[in-house]
Amino acid sequence: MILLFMIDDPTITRGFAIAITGLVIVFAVLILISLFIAALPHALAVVARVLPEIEHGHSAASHSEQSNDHDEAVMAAIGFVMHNELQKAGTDGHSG
Amino acid sequence: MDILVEFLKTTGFWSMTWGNAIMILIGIAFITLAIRKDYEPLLLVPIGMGAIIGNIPVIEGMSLSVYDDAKWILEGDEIRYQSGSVLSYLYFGVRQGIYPPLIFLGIGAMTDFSTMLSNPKLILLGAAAQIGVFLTFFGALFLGFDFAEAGAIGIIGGADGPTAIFLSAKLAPHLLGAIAIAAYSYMALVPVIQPPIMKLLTTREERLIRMKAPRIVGKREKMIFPVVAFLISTLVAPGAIVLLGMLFFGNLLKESLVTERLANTARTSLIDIITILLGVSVGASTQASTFLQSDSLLIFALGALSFAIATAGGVLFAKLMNLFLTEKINPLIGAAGVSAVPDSARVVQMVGQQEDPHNFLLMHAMAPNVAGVVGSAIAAGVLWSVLAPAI
Repeated sequence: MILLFMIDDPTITRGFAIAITGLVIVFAVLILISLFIAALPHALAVVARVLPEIEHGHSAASHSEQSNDHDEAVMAAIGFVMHNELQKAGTDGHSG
Repeated sequence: MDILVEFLKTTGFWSMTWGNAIMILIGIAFITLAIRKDYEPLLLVPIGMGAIIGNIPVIEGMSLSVYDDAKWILEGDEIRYQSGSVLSYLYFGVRQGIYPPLIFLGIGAMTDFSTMLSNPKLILLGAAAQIGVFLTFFGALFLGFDFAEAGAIGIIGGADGPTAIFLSAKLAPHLLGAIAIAAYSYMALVPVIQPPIMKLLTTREERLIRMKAPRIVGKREKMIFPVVAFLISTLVAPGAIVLLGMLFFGNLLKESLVTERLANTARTSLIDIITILLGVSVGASTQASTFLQSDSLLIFALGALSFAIATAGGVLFAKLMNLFLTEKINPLIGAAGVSAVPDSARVVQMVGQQEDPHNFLLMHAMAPNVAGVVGSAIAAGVLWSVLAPAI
């Protein structure tokens, strides 16, 4: 009975049509994106034969910046250990 | 004495209604939840404070509320311009749908689509969760809301605050406050709402499924993706141009590697500023006279239903996919198809680890999670383009 009422009501019928269409469109778009993503690595592999991927200038710069930071951290750590060892040696010397 | 009485009449105490008091308490509750429970603090603190600001009764004749817009007044033979309240200018960005796309720009600049690019079939889970949007739209129609209102209510199921605000500003501005509060409340309550549904719909064996680590995605893939995904989405659903345009533009800023400064601004300062303006002005729009209506209660009920259906839709679709897949996916990640990023992905990780502490689902769950952002923006675009002409 309720179902018959729903089918007769033009608002509900139109609403149902919009809901189904909307869901189909969302699925269609995301399926298309999904297919594109699945195909992309294969397409890029073909492109890479002609135009090999090069290291980007900016990323290279940031890499070297990172290396500098890394070097500084290593130097600081070495300095800290040396300082500790020298102090320990000094203290040991006095105590000995 | 008369002067004192006159002064008292201008105070907030004099014109305070029960509704204002309730809304102020709700505002305080939001702030408390954000501080004590850490529920979406970046949103609930501005919205809570906004609700308090918006519910201090204003003196008649003074332009103070968000609804006091600039207008032309006819006085005798003269036409006079009356400027709007400060809050009304801040609210302009909400009413005109300006803030949500800017938030999407920031989200795009933060989002790493790598997990989605490495396992494209998981995108479908982001689509399946949108069933919550469309079933709630249908349910709202059944409860007597008109088409535009039903569309705006349905989008709560997308679990995306900016999208909900954007669509309700376009379709049903009079419901904006209730819809925004419902959307953000349920987003904050993701860790409470989702786990019981996820556990109810999955077996222990399913929750224990381990998934293969995602592959490493190349830079070129990441750079090409935002442009092509935008073209595909908006050529099919042009209503999503504004939201998806900004989302993918933000992502391109991030992935192009040559606009790091712009990407950094978009994902830090810009999104923070817009979140503050959006939160406070949406909160201030929840004046008791407009917010405390029976419709608001219905919107909250439909919002909860919408969220639950979206979660169930994602989980059930993952189980359906498993019928056809040789490499099974853990159906829990279907719950991340709602676009509450990254909260629902975190919930998936949490529920998964309750069964197996060494199962790391977070990375896998991020794929349907970001697909959900795209899916809900497309759903909003579809509803907007179909329903706007009917207004």
